[in-house]
Amino acid sequence: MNRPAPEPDPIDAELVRRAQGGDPAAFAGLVSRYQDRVFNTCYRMCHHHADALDLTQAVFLRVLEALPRYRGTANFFTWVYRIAMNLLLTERRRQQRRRPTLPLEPSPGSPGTAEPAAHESDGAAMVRQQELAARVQWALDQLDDEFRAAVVLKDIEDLDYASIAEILGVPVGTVKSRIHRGRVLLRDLLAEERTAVDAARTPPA
Amino acid sequence: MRPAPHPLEADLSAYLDGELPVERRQMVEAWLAESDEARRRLAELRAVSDRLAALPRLQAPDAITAALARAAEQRQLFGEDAPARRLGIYRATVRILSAAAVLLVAVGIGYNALRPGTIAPPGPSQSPPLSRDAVPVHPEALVRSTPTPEAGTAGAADMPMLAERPATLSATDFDANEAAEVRAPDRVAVLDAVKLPSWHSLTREAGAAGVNRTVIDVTITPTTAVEYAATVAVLQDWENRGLSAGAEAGEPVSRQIAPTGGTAATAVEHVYEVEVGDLSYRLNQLALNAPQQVFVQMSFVAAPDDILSRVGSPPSDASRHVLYSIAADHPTGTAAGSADGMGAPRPAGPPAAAAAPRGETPPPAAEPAPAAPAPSGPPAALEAARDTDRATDAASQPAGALGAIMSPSVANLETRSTQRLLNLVLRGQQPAGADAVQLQNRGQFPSNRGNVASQNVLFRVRLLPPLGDESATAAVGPPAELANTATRPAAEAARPDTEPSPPAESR
Repeated sequence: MNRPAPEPDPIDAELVRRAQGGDPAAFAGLVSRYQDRVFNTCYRMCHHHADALDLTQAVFLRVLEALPRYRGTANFFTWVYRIAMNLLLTERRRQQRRRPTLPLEPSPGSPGTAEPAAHESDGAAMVRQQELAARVQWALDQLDDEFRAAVVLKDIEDLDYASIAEILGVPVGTVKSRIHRGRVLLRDLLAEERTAVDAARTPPA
Repeated sequence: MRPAPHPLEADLSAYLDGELPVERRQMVEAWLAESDEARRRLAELRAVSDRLAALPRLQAPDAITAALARAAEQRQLFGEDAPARRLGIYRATVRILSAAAVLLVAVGIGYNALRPGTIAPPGPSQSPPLSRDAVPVHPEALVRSTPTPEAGTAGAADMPMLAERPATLSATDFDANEAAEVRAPDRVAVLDAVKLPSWHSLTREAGAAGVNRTVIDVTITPTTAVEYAATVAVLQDWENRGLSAGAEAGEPVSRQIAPTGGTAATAVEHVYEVEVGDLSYRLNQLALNAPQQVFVQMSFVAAPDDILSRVGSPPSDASRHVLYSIAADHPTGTAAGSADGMGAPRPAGPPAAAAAPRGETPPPAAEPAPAAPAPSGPPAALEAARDTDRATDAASQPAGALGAIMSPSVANLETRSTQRLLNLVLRGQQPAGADAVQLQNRGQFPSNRGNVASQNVLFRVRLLPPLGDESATAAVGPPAELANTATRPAAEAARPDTEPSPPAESR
């Protein structure tokens, strides 16, 4: 069942208090604590390294701007994530309005990408893992933003439903259905992609 | 076809996540106990969840902390609302000074265009890759339009004086004004670090236009020693991350650019190879450290044949202006020789405009004289860039259509204007309809396969000592730490006796 909201992290609380008092080092401490998680989430959402870097930087600049108004009613990390998600979704909507451009190279893991041979050395296993990850990321990219955000926050960031609801600004029931729907779509996408790869590898009769 | 979902199926994910209330959980457990299909679906969902959880965790670059800490420091220094207020004041100042820059540069270029015999020849082989025209005009430099004797290179000496300017504008004024607009300082775009244009898409479009290399020149004039040290820390971090161009080949990647005396010797030029997609991030890092003092220029390099095949002849105004921003690549290896003595307009002087605003301090000779080059010579990347500049000069000669339409005096552009001009040229040359699709697919231009969008770009960073606080530079620590040992002797000779403290850590 729904767990109680996590207690505010005392380190966060102290860093926030000092940062609000104008201590740049405290703000740097907050950045240092969460930049990897924010960056990772941004990357999984937009699947573009440079864009994820830009977004991460933008998130913390926005945090810096808004920090004086942060009253501690929400968990700091949840608050940061809410800012991140707002920026991410806004940016993605903006990108979708742009003229589409074709990638210069095919995305790794896109359907039809061949997998390594069956006989695996350690290196081959590593390649196989990378390709598997690429396929999962490819499938993730196919989801609508609302489903992607839900499964990223749950399965990659391991947040509970209540926190995700707070971050996304939707009821817990909506989170529940989005996560389930997102996983089902991913399951189907990966199954379809697997079928396509197998068909491509089957030699013609 | 899948059967209709079980009423409890929507609860499977929540069950998996331990998010169901007790009563509901018991219902799901009962269903799982009796149904193979339920267990199979749960296993599928768990597999998906596990795959997502197993995705590699990415780490943000450490330098992001330093850059953001710097932003926080500025906010603390200037107060909660100060950044916006300061930005507003600064924007107003820049607008005024930009207008002055447009006027002065426009008149200067127009005047130069009418004086074919007064163009200085290209400088010696050690001339900087940044031409005088390429250097953005610092607002204070606009006030101090008279070059100082210390800046007396051929290029700087060629700078027209106010009294020499023609009273009326000529037929070339349109081009001159366009060029001036392009090169007018527009640091607001850099100031507003978060809103920098998307370099990735920009350079991708450039690639579609036949560009095969991009050079980004960044000149930083820190206001304070703190900014200077912070920038050093960022550059050091980049070097530690192996971004330096030529580092793998053991070539010098950093050098002093003012090796003769005084604290001005702490100016350095450093060359990196940066992924196209990372440009915005790298620029943001620099802009956050010295937001008012970062100048950015962008040069595109394309093979002449590519240009001609795309533009045709005669070029339209739009394509012409884009060509201004494209320096012709070295055609056959003879361009350097051709450039010498050809009266090519690209002046070979130091970035006089960047050096001029340094108050009473004479501008440093931004480029070492031929007598004092780095012992092992400049990095190959710099040499390549210079070749490009020379080729640009060569291309200005009437050797075919390319020579007729190239204007090497306007070989560099600033960021926002670059995008505008690129859009212009793309509109002017991009085929419509099915041809446009072909262009997007690159089927029409096989050479685009290796274009700029799939390459690293050359990122040249020139860091000057803090404005009006050069003594503080030594206290903070000169960026000689950045210098390759092969370039160290010149730096050692010029370094003050004061033992520098190490630069600030980036994290």
